[in-house]
Amino acid sequence: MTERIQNYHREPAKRVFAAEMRDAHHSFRVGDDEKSPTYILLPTGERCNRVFIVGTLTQKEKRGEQHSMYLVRVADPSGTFFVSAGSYQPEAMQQVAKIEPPAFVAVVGKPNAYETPDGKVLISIRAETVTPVDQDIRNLWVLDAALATLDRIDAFGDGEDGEKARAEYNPNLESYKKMVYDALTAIRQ
Amino acid sequence: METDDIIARISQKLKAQGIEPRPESIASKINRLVTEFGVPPFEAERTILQDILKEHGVSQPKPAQSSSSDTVGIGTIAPGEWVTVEGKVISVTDPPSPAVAQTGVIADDTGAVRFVIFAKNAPALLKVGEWFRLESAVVDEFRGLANLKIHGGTTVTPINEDRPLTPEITRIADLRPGIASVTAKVVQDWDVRHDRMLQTGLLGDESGTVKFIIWKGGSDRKLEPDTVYTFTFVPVEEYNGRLSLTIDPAACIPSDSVIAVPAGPAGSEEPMPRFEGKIISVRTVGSDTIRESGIIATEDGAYAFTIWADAQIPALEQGSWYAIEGATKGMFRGAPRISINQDAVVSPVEDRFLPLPPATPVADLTPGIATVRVKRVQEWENRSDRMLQNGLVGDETGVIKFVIWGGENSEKIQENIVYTLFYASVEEYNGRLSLDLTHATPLPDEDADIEVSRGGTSISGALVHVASGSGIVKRCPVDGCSRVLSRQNFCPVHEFQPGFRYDLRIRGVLDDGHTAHNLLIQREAVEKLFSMTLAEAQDIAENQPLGADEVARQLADRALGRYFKVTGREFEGIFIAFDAQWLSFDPGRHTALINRAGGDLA
Repeated sequence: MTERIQNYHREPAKRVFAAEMRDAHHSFRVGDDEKSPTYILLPTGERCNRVFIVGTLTQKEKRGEQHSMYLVRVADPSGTFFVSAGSYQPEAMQQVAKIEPPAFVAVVGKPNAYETPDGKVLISIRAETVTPVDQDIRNLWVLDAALATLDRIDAFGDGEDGEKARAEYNPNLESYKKMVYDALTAIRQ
Repeated sequence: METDDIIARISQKLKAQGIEPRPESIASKINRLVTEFGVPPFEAERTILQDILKEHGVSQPKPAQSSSSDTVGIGTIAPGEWVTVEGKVISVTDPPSPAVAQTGVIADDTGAVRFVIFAKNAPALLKVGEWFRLESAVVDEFRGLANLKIHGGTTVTPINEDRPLTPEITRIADLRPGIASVTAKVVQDWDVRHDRMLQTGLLGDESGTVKFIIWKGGSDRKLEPDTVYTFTFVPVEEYNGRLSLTIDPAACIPSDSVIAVPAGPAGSEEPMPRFEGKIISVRTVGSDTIRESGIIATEDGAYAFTIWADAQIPALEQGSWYAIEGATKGMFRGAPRISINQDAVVSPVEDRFLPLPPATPVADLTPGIATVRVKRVQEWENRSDRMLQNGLVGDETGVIKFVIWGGENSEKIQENIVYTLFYASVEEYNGRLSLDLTHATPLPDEDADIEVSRGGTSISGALVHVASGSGIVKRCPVDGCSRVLSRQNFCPVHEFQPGFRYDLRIRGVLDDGHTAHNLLIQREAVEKLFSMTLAEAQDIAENQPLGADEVARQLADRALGRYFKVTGREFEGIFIAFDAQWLSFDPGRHTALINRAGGDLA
């Protein structure tokens, strides 16, 4: 709480599989400062303000004329991320404009919770950068995301985020372990 | 087979739209997405169906847009957002410039924020004490703080009711720059040193103290000493790392609360038993509160000490031994410090032999007083006239920044000579250590040499950000400068330098999922990893229309989103890498993870 403002600390980019992100719906803000970051609480019990994902860009769609934005779907072995790149993220937008689906991409971005009219909460990732990569990088990412997810599962319940995740999601950790297993076996050559 | 099921479902849906499906084409698309690109079958099915529908001009239902007209809490807004808020105008201030029509503070139950209304296309001005609904205001940043911008496109609607508003009280220790409400006692009333200032001093609560300022031009009321007030929605400002509150006495409410403000120099001071020590160095500070400060060596180590202005003791002599009673020990800037104040009694004792302190390896240094055995490895240009020398010293275990301030007895340390520096002061700033050698005693050892560690450490992760200033840069050729020049070859210190030299680098962020490391990859590593030599970069920069921007773009395309391991050294918050290598897929790790994830499931 007493951390000084100019001591800017960049939020790490969490590695999360799409199927876990799809289950997330709880977001919260730390502190009542105007600059306090917003976090999405992951069902495996960790907060997340930025993500790094690598997957296949399967579709892109441009919306709007003057303040246009791209809505992009990025699939990993477990499911699909919804990614957006608007005119406030010119770098990401230009990168998306150049990419023809399907293509492996690495995305760095901030997850945001949106409520749909039928009351469902959807997590969409506002891209900071979108870069074409190759299959090797995608495979490295699957290992990375698998390790991070298994670590979260093993540490589940320790600390504030774990408590909160238990209350919000009461997650079936075995099913997330299965998700990791399936993702790892999907990239077995 | 799953593929056949997918083809059947897609075909059925296409037929429902009057489109004749082509199963072979669908099969090859499934193969491409699922096999080649690892897309889950359900996502492939959806993608293929939508793509074909689109080709035939069949529109699909669009996902709903999020609504932006909902009111949000003022405490939750962040720069970059368009927001609708409802709040009470707490104060308005005279516009600081003709371009601005009005500034002030608006609050709701969740927090408060400064607002600004620009003169151009200004909607109605706001009135103090009244509630307003502001639709489509923009949150931006001004001097590092959120600021609510009310512009021509903002709809301002008065709310004709006075809603209750309960400000949340913040403890002084938890204050941050912005707007806050505090309940605190006036503990000190200082002399005013500024024409426009009416009163200044110190406010305190149980958690700490903070400076306050009242400017002239308001009600001309002052705060009463030793009185507790509640100050609502006051600006908290930061200057030189210290916070202060700007108080409007008309808007503060005397409170019945009883507040015990902890006394003493700064929080938790522990009384010390009588001890004896040798004064290694002592100097006059010349401040209102501190008389002298210095370094004292005791049997359990050397410490910095401070003699406060209220101390009733004679001047201490360098090199002499004293017995000290009634001193206290606390922490100051992360290091232990002995405080000598009015309760202390100091008496001279006989000199005795004090063994020389052993040297601490650079890698093991902690804030406080230490002796090091090091060699100077870099000398930097002095940033201030008061500075005699600064740069890097190191030993076999690592390197550390050093500074020597100018003064009567200060002298520089020479290159390539090993020194034992007795009683150096190890300081911490923003989590980084540095050595102040001004009052250290240097002992050169002409015959010795040490191999200063360049081994560095390694970190791995994905490059998640490439910062501006990456690519090919021009550096100032003046010895010891090497600053990056502007596009016009201008060095901030040495002005125009047409004889610049080129360099290649990447500045960015390497992220392992737990920590985001600021990273600078030096030329050798950039050339090796991203297959671009400095000569090639120079060729692009000089001969292609986009010049240096093209170099930066190509490097970013090759680096962003990739995994690698870098070797180097963390320095002032930046990891400086002199070597880098790609991470490659490790089948052994893959198998181990599969086992960990579900050996028992399989």
